[in-house]
Amino acid sequence: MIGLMIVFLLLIIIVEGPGIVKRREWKEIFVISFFSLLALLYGLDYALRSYLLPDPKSLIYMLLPLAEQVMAFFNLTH
Amino acid sequence: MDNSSLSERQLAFLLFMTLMGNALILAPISGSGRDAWIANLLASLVGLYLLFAIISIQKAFPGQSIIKISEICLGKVAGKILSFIFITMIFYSIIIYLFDACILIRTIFPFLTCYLLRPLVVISIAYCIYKGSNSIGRLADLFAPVTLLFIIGSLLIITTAADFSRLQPIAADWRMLVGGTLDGAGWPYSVITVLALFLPFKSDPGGKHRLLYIWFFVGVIIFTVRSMLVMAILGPEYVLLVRFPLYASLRFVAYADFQRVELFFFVLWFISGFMVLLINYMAGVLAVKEYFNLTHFKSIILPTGFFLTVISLYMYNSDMEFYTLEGITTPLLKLSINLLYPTILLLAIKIRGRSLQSSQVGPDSSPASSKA
Repeated sequence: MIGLMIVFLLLIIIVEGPGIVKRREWKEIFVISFFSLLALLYGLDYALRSYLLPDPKSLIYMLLPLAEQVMAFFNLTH
Repeated sequence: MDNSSLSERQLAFLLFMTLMGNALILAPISGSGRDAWIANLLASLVGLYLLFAIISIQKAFPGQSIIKISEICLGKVAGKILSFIFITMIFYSIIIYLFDACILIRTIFPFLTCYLLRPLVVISIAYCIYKGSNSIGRLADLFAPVTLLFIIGSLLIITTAADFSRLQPIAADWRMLVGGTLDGAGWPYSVITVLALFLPFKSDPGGKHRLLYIWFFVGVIIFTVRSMLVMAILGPEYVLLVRFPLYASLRFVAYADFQRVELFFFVLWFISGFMVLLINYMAGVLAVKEYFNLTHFKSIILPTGFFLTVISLYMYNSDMEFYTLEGITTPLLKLSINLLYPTILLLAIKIRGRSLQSSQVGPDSSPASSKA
């Protein structure tokens, strides 16, 4: 996981870094940093198995009881 | 045709590949039992409506992205909120497609780990997106006929193992049929909403969209025949136990000493899985570009890929959990968001009518004319 993050970060810095800094595209720099930082935080959380960040899957779990009720009403099986 | 435009044929092929995606091998709507093929036909009406809706929205604002259109129609705040939900749905779809593609590859190459496979798939797709929308259109030009050929081939081959008595009685349980229709409307039919992000690239925005409807119907016919055959071969109980029903159906076929027929069709699973990921990834990147008003989309391809790879590993690293959760919730989730988003926009366009035309944004914000 750490290796994966290093590869991606290096790729982003090498491929995108010089261009956007040269053109001074602040919005692009903000969006790139936002996605990279989120990925980095979640990646570290996963690699260190600390699970301190909110799991996006919990939103899907919130929908599960409703989905199960719909399936039961329509006699559907999965 | 410039480097960023797409012809009507290319858009139609993109629609076809989006529809096929992983639904070809996973055989959705199987939960509705022997009436899956009828449920499939009924669910296609929702797909047809969505296709009509996204085309109508595009016709009202030629060359504008649906993300921009939502801001024009609903206002800055409401438009942004609705678009954020839609973009989240696209990202979640990418995570699902990525997981499915890697699971499929691992059935053939079991020793490849997900830590290697997922970034490899994402980086390959990122490379294709770097080449621009026209290259994706050309890829669809190349892959759609090959996919169609392999689909017809696979369906013809499995016909020999079909026992059509398994499809009877027809429409015995109306609840199951209605449930299957809703299930199918959510997945695979509602996923075509993502094509709304490619429509502004159409080379003649005011032109006809007949080919899109034709290829949509080709997809519906394929799914209906596939549903009938898979159910006739595996039966309604066994079809729920196997992970890839069409793949399992092909494993039933053996011609004398000619074994492992299903491996010939691996190219079909791979192409359809790759293309649907590519289309959704591109749509996600285009949506983020429009959402943040960026001048280029290329600069956010790799960061988005990085984010999606990590989040997919964070969310789903066990296929047991994935299939329990995803199979039940995804159709409902996809149906509600993919149906509501274009419907709200279409209603806003119909209600507000002329007043919207005066508040349109300038031509520089259109994706086709941007530097991307």
